[in-house]
Amino acid sequence: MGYMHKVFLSGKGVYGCSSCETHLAKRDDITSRHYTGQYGRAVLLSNVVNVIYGEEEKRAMTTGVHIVRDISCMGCKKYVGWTYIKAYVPEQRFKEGQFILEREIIHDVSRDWDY
Amino acid sequence: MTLSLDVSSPPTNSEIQGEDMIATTSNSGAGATDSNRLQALSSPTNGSNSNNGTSPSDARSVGLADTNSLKRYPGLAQEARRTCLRDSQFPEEQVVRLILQELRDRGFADTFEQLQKESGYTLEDEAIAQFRNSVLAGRWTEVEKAISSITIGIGSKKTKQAALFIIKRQQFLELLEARKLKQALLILQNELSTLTDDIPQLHRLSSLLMCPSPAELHTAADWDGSNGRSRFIVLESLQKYIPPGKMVPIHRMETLYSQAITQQCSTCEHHVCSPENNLYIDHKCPQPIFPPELQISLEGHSDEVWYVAFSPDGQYLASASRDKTCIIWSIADYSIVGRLEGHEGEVSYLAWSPSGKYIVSASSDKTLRLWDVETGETLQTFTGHTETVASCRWLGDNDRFISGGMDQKIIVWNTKGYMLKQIASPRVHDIAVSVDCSLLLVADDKSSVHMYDLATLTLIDKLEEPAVIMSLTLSSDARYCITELRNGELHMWDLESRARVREFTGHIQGNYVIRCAFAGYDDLFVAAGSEDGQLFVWNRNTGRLLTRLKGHTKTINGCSWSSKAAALATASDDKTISIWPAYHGAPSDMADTEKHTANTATSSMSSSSSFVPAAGPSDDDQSMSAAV
Repeated sequence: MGYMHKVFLSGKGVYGCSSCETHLAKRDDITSRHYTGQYGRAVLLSNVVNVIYGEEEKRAMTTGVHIVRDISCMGCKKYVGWTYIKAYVPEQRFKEGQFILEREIIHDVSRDWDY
Repeated sequence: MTLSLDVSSPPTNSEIQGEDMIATTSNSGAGATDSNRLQALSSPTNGSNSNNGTSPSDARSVGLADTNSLKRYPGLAQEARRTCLRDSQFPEEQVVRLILQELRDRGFADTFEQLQKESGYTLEDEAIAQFRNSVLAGRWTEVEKAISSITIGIGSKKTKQAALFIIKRQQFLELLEARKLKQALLILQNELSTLTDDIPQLHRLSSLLMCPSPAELHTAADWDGSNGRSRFIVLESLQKYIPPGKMVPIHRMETLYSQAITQQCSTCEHHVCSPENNLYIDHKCPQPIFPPELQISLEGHSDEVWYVAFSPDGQYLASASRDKTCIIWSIADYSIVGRLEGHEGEVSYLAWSPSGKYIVSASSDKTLRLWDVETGETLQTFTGHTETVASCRWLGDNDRFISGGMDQKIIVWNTKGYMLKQIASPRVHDIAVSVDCSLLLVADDKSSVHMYDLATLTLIDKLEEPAVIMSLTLSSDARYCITELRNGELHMWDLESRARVREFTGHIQGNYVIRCAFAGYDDLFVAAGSEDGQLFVWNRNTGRLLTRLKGHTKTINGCSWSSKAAALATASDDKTISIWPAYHGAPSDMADTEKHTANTATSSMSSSSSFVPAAGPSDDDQSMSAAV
């Protein structure tokens, strides 16, 4: 992998890791709020920062089979969600390259957004 | 031009000239005969004879020249003599006077005299010779008089003042040394103070009055006394104000030789060896510089290695890893001599103290640690940053260092653990400090490099890049700075002109921090890792890719060059460190040199074709390994 500089997002609506506050995503990048993760509600985002990737794996989900990689926080190494590498169902292709963040594990570090 | 006209008439007269000259020198003096001879020898005569109104007839001068050159090449027939003589593009007078100076400097007194006699040129006229003697003997009143007279040739009032100041300062110091305080004080008050506006300088000089002994005076003034070299130095600095035609600049030939060698080095594409100061042939380093395959691999880290640095003496190597430790390796036998354990986060940066006794490391656990290299123990933990510490550098001595963090703080620490200074800054991606500690460069998390004056910590300038800067590298002379960008570009800036002068291409680089290094003697190469596991080496001046070193299987995160160890070290995601020793120009390399030169000659500047010499035919590779 290599060494990465931690990225700091600015502006309102910044999601951070709830255990180490490392910035992860911007509210503006949310594509959908209607997702469910391993720990409950989750959001789909077009972009995240400061994450490290796990191995690729094939996972069966409610919307079909996908190839995904888990993502974890660069600061504390804790699991925060996953990213879609490939969707086998054609209608789900739009998710490829997008990210899921678990709402239970992240919180708004700029604290102007109640969810 | 007027200068050379002035001096082209050697003042020492009839006894120097040959007998044949006397016939013509009835009133025109030696200058006329000189120019006659120049004409006849078909040397370029530029102006030195154009004012020669009293020149004798052509026939006469040819005859003269013949007798003259006969004297120069005794026993040679006319035709042979002509072939011996050549057109030189430099005025003969200058050439001869340089030779005269060299002869005198090397102590060939007889030859010196002989050459003066034979050529008709003198190194220095009477006034200059006297001036030189007065300076070296410390007869300052005479020196002063000479400065104000026209014969020395110091022109304007301003330069005269500057020259006088140098003399008076020396006089002042000599009086102090002789404990003649009253006289010294008089000089300071009445003369030195009128000659300069440099108040701090005058303050420094007056503080010297307090020195209790000559020895202390010497150290305080950085001056080695009237019996030391100080008068030579005074003479040297006075020479700046004297026209070079009057007094040939000191060690002129030596200067020209060194310039020639410097120039040869700067055009030597694979410059790794120091020049041997061989004047017979042009300097050229053998190629290739690094063995393309052979390398030493160091295994010891349990995770990605992120940073690597040679100790100042080149005997050790320190590596920082994602496994939260640093390892110190011995270059002599490539063994592990110390493991620095204690950080609670990944270690992304480290720096050797100038003495090589300490290492300071920066980690994502928001602390810095000072390590004793010998014992491997933590001497001090520095807490103060509230985010990942991105970079740290020593500040010249072994007591202080500077660190920059993602928390928008730059902190100056001392080794006892105290925070000496803290400045608000942008979020820091990397910092660099010049060797003389005058300049601090800070790369922020956006796309600019901030240049600070380190003494006052004031912002001098800002360099703007088109993308986020991942790392910074400063050349050892602090002239060039390399910025490595998130978009994969590698730029070199000339800090003197504050302009981007070069771009290096070929490597692959994305989101990860790859740190490059200056390498080779005089920092002539730029080395940078790549995400394909290869190390790229470019020529700094041309931007041409010299070689790609294949030894790692994953991203190379950092590299370090040591001239003392004559090797490059690379740190990689594959958990290993590689050492790439540079060639020293062993005789067995020479065959390769020629082969490669042929290749290089045909390859153009484009990066694709410049792979040719680097990749090389396979049989070359074998012979290279054999050479090591």
